[in-house]
Amino acid sequence: MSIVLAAECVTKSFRERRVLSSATLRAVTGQLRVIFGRNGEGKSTLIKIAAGRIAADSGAVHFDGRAYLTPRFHELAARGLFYLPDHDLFSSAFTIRRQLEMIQRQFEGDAIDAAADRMGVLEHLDRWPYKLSGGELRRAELAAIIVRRPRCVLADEPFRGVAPADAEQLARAFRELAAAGVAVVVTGHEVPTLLDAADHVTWCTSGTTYELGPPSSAVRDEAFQRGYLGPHLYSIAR
Amino acid sequence: MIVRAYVGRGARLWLLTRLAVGIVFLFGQANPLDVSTRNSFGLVLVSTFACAVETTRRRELALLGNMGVSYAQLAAFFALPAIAGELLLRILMAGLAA
Repeated sequence: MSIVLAAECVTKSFRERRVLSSATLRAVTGQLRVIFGRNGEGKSTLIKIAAGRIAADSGAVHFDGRAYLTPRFHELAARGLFYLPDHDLFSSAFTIRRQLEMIQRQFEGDAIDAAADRMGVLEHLDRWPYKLSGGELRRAELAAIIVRRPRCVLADEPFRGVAPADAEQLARAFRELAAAGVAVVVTGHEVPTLLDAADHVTWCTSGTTYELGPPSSAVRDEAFQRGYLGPHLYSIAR
Repeated sequence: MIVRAYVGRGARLWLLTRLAVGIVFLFGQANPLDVSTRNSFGLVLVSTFACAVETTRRRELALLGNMGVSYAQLAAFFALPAIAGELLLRILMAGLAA
């Protein structure tokens, strides 16, 4: 197990509002890590900074043994990072198959049909992204990740607005990626699904991050129970 | 494949920009093909900007970034057909004038 990507001591403000004051994100080979946090606590900001999508005010990103003070998304992506945004990975200008072909040719990736079949979207390959439902689109995006064969995946709320059956399939795919040695970091609020799938839990709150360890330890953390899980899940956890 | 797709978009939007400018020139009773170097440069900028707007509108930046395509490369894909088209038109006009 080695750290493939680390965003260390990250700070970020938007105008006068400080979102992150000292946050850390680590992606570890073969692990599925989950970042929990209430809305507006900076999960997405942290993941975007780690991916080089936005610049941090301070802090450094290490990826694949190199340190970046100002990481650039396309550079990290060329070296094996895949960033899954919270919406719209695919362009509305091309069919799903065409976009998967672009990824495949760019990186000599895996077979498209096999990846699509694995995610249950084989029959949707020749359709336009806007013709697909939210769950189908998310599964097609996972097929894109499988075709790409990245070293590290950062997924921002991939389960949002997705039916439970689709969420389970997505979680299984993320787990399989981790089992294949990919470093996976996912954010979200789907506590039962994510706790079932995760190897490690990070809690993002008040501008900083707390490493809570495996899910079994995380659910025993009282501050996490009070500050994030809420009374219902808190009582289940207890 | 990426280059073909985005250079194609650059060419289409340059043609549309040229067409729009041509119509304006025709209304002003000027030759739409005979534009100054400065205006040619402006046309390249406008069509490249239109491509950038179209790409942002279609939310393609995450996909392109994931494929390792930088903004500079993307700008080059968009500008190249416009530059080539403008050069070709200038050569054509010079040939006709001669």
